[in-house]
This record gives sequence, C-alpha cells and structure tokens, in this order.
Amino acid sequence: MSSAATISSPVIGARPTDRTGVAYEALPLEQRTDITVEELERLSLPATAELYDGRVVFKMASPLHAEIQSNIIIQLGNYLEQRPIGALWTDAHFKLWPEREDRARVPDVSFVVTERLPQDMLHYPAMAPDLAVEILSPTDNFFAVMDKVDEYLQQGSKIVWLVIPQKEEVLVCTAEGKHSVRDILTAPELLPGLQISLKKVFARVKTETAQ
Amino acid sequence: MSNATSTILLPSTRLPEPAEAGLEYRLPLEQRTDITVEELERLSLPATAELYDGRVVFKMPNPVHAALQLALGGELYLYLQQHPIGKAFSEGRYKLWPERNNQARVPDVSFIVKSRLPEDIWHSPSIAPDLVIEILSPTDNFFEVVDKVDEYLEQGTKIVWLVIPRKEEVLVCTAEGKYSVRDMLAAPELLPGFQVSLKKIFAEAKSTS
Repeated sequence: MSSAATISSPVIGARPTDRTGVAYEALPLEQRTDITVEELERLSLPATAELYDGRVVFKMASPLHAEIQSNIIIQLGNYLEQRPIGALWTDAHFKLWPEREDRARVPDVSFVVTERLPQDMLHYPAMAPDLAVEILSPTDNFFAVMDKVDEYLQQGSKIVWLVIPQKEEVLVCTAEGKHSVRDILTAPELLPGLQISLKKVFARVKTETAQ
Repeated sequence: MSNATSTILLPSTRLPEPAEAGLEYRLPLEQRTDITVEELERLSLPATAELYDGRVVFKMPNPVHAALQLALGGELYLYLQQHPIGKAFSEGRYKLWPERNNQARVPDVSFIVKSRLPEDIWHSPSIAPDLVIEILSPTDNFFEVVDKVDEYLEQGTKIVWLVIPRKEEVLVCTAEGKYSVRDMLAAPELLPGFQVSLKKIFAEAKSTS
C-alpha cells in the first residue's frame, strides 16, 4: 500500500503508522482480509502461512506429517543428486496466480524444473511448481482438498501428490485424472527414472531402544 | 425396554430412579451412545440415520445430492430391469459388521447380487453390499471419507463409487486402489454392460432450468 507517513487523526478506519512511517494494520492478524504477498514476506510468521484472498491461514503439521515430508524430501533429494534437473523446496511460497496479490500457496514439498526456475530467488515466485506434494491432515475437508488440487493443476502444475498418511497411500492427480499408489511412486515424464518406495516414506521411526 | 409396570408416582422432592419408576431412563437421542440396530429400526427417524458406535449420525443431502442419488439409482434400476442380476437399494441400511449391534451404515445407493440377497429383507441385513455409491457433501472430512470406503471394502464390498459433485468426477475405489472417472462410469465385472454418462448426470443434477 502507498504509505505516506501521515499521522492519522483518530478516525474510524484510518490506518495508524509506526515511528518509521511504515503503515501497520490495526486489526489482529487473524481478522485481517487485506494481506498481500509482499506483506506476508515481511511478516514474521511460521513458514507454512498461506494466503487465501488476503487472509492468512496456517498449515498445522503433526510429527507424523513432518516425518513423511522429510522422507519424501530424502527420496526426491537422492534422485536429484543423481539427476540434477530441477530444484526441490519444502514449505515454499508460490504466488499461484501472478496477478493476485492476495493469494499464496505453500505446498509441503515442491519441485520446479531448471528451465522454469525464477530469476529472483529471494521473493515468492509468481508461478506454479511442476510438482506439488500435499500431506493431508485429519482436519482436511474433502472438497477443499479437491479444490486445492485443481488450483495447482489449473495454474500449471503437472502433478499433485496427495499423501494420505492414515492409508499409507498417495493419490496421484494430473489434468487427466487421479489414481492411487501404494507401493512405488513414479513420475515418468517429469522425473524420469524416479522410484519412491512408499514403504520407506511411511516407515515409522523406531522408538524402542535396543536392549 | 424393561417390563414396565405402571406404578403411580407419589409427589416427592426426589426424582425416582428410573428403575424404581418402572421406566427405562433415556437421554436425548443426540447424547446417547447405546443405540442398537434393532432400536434404530423401531425409532421414527429420517431414513439416512447411520449408527456409529451406538451413536446416531444423520446424513444431510442437499438438492444436488438428492438429484444425483435419484439419477444414479435410476440408471441402476433401469439396467437391472434388463439384466436381473441383483437388487438396488436407495438408503438401504446395513449392519456392516454382523457381530456389532451398534454399527449401521446407509449408502446413498447400494446394489446386492442375487446370490447374496438376504432372506429377511425387512430388517437391516448383516452384510456389505456389493456396490456402494456415496455422494459427497461440502462438510465431508477427507480422512472420514477414506475410512468409510475402507470399512465397506474390508467388509466385502467390491466397489465404492465416491461421487464428487463439486468436481463432476467419481472416484472408483476397490481393494486394488482408487482412480477417477469423468466421462463414462462402468463396472464391467460386477455390472456387465452398465454405463452411465457422468457428464450428462452432473449437468442435469446441477441445472436450474
């Protein structure tokens, strides 16, 4: 917003400024609906803060979620070490709709092929990742998840992997359709030769200490 | 209910224990967790009442849901007129776990092949239907839906069709896995020759003219 440092008279709706003349918003974060991607970048928030029509929404990750996320990263990372064909990110923000300043999405894991990597790597890129991985949580609404998949696919993602921890299953979603995978996850066109063992992805950390 | 002899209650400051009064004390329906399939059949409730661990849960269909249910059920009915290989049910109630009296599920549409039809078709049968059609609603939780699919498949259902009105898509679920269908819905092994144009059905269900 164009924040000239005017000292606002106490008028309802007026936006106060701090001593540096930078406008800040009077409302608590959870009540605001006017947050922009630029402001989100400046705010000190958990990395997983997404932006839905100007509203900040946090993704809440359980330890199981975090572990699966790491396991996928490890498997994809091993593959990319052998075949450096793109970049692998965790909890990276994407301005999925380049013209919308009030929307940002944060896939749990994302992959962007080298040719499409943004020049400016210090700000949220206005693009969709080639691959988006979303690990589902117990609170996820069915239609909301389907909508999210379509948002990625419509904005240019080739593949969305919906990981269903409780079923040890991945729903592979592309523009052509969806199908489930329970053993070996592949993506022949985008990541040729990749074979992710879902057994490894869903393997639980052994908590028992050897006697 | 226990053998209820009608004793006249004397005015007292103390409420009599239900057993003393010869009555069985009942909590409001939504607080109870001890409902059995038999009681559910006796209660006057909407047809869509399901039973989860003794608790009644109602399915709330919206108009699009209701239209899709009729259309898919109608297609199945018409198919079965030509191919009498079994019976289709709308809101049929199933005791999915024969040994569990506190569980009942009500698929929007279900189909049972002839050879598996229960002899007593006046009470909720203790079987899983061969085909289940569930039309999803905006409030459905993702994990609950995939749990429900697995309940049917684990109890013997061959195919579950998850109808996603918002995406005009059906997720076909079998023991082997899940895949989406957007054009022609079929089930060659269970319903040979059955075919439904999803495009047509979704368009009709969502139309307002």
